[in-house]
Amino acid sequence: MTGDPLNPVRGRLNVGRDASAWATLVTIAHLGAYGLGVGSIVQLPLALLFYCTCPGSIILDWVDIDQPLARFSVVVALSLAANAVIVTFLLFAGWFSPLSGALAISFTTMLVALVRPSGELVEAPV
Amino acid sequence: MTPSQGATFGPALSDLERPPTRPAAFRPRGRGATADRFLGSAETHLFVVVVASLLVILSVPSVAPEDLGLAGLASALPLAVWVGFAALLAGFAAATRFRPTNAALGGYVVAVAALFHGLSLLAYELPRLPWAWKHVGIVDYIQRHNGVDPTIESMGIYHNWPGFFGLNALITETGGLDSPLSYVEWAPVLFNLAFGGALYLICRSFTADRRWIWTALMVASAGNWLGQDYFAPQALAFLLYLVTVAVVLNSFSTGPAGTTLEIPANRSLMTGVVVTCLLAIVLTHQLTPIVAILALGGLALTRSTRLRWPALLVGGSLVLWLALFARPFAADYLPKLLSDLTDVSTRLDDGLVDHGVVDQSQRLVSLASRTAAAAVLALAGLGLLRSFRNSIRWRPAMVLIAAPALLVGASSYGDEVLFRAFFFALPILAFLAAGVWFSRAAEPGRTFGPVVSLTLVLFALFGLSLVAKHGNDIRTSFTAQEVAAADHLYTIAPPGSLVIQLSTSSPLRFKNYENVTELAVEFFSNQAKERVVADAAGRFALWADDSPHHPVYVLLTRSQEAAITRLGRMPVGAYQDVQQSLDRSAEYSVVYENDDATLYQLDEHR
Repeated sequence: MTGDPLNPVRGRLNVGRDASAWATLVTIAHLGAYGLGVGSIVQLPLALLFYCTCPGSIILDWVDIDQPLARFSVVVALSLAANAVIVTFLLFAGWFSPLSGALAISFTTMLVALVRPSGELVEAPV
Repeated sequence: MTPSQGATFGPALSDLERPPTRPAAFRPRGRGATADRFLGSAETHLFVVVVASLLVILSVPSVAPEDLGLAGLASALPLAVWVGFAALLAGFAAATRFRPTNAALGGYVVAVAALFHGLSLLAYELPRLPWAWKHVGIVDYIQRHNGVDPTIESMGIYHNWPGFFGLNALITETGGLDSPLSYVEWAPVLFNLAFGGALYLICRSFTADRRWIWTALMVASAGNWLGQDYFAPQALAFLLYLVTVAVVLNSFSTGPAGTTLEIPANRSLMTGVVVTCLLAIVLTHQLTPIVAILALGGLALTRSTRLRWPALLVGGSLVLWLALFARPFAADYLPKLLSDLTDVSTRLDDGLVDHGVVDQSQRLVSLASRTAAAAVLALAGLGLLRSFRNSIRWRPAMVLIAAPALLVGASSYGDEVLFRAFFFALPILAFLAAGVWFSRAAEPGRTFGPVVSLTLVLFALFGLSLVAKHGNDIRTSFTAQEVAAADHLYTIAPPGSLVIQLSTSSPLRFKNYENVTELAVEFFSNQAKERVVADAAGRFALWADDSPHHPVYVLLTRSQEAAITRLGRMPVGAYQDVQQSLDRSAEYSVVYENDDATLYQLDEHR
């Protein structure tokens, strides 16, 4: 174990923003596959990957969770939570469609990836 | 964790943060040393995980309803599957003593969670559970209408909490599919793995002992017979609940410094995680916000967390949601909730199967589920007793068990609330249960006794859970023929149709669901059911005359027959009596028929 869960002070900080780059890649791949209509064999895995990990995976740029299974849970939960909120808003606003939903979640993902949190990240005293 | 952080359930086993290295003087010699080396090697455990998993995957047969015996799917599984699971559980128990690393322990937990909760994926060609099919119907509605109708009468509750369904409509459409049916059965696998990760973090806030943590995850997975992990908003909301609790206990702990987030930016970030998850819970499910209020409020009141506002956030959001967006549903829901508050004893009675009316296999399933629940509760009690001596963080655990227990007195879920309450408490009960083996410091690799006892308990729990979870599959799994008949019904039925069936155990409502209203005989009074058995054709025609819905169909399926027989809802032979009555009547015509289902239509101009 490298440190306490959810505790970047004691743990190793991943300040390389790998997760943001990865989320961007998944977003572009998903939108591309959907836009081109390449078929469910490619589209479904990308759709599941996108909606289950974006935008939640970006949190890994700022928080070090020491165990892969725990990391998986937090990323999936946060992604599904954020996406459920967005989709509910679209449904009740009368703006829901597959395209509007995909674009709204992609936009949110890109926004979170671009915005850095306030304050300075501190390297872990490992 | 540092040794000074004794604010945990168990002893500060910081040495278990590293792979165990024991002084040479204490290492066993001779045969003991060989066994120690063998069971302590990473390669051994990797081999066991891979081979046992492959054995299970390759041995699970394609199961048809006629293969399901007294114990359901458990009866249809070959010995190799049992051997595979036994090897995984024994390997895990051995790893807790000889190789307590995250990789080894986690590998076993992931394998058991994925394989146990993926059994139906391997065994059946189509998704099981009638409710999963109905949830697919809501997704289908959103796909067709690009919206929801909160005032709709049939399954209106889902239109008022549409987050889960809207998200799946999005996945289905952008995934290039017509329906989510092709991935529905993967939901238990995904959700159980995700539950495990969240539970890891919750347990990590109580102890640093990874053996204890992973054993809790194994107990929670092997003991999860409740079937609330399928394609449903409950499963998603439960995951969000667990992650919220995990973040609250880890990042905003009132424990000693070092267990909390100390960077403002990250504290804000984790606050954002909590807010997002809680809002999604409110927008996704009706019951989970109540549990969240009780649990998070309890954690705040017992000063187990520095976050005091989450319960208020959930409560306020829920009130706003009910007042502004879910008003049509709230008008029906709130009076029922209030009446249920005074009806606890009835609900406790109704929640348990009456062994006097159900058949032998249903009694076995009921016995297995009760025994599994009792075993987890007993182990949790024993674990609590062992943990108490060295515990100063027992309050959060008690709160997380007590909160769901309060549900029994405060929900409108009828008899199902007992299962829901146990489901919400299971993770923490599993943690306490695992404390039986690990609440006191023990040198890894000393004796085989705990390994054997842990193996036996886990295997017994797995066996009971398998029977409890899949014992009813004969009435909750469906054949392609049954689905074809239902598909035909929803294809030809115009808006305003009525379908009469003997039981709701059918793959119904999965497309164009709003066009067809369902009537299930199993929920009628005994007197009404007797009249149906005596003259089904005449009785159904009378109902049709009184109904505003037309045309009228009657759908009879194999799974309905299994359901009414097993649950004792109608006498043995009732299905055949009804079928014969409809076949003899000139007023009914067969519009679709195959080996497992018959669809009749009542003549409108009779």
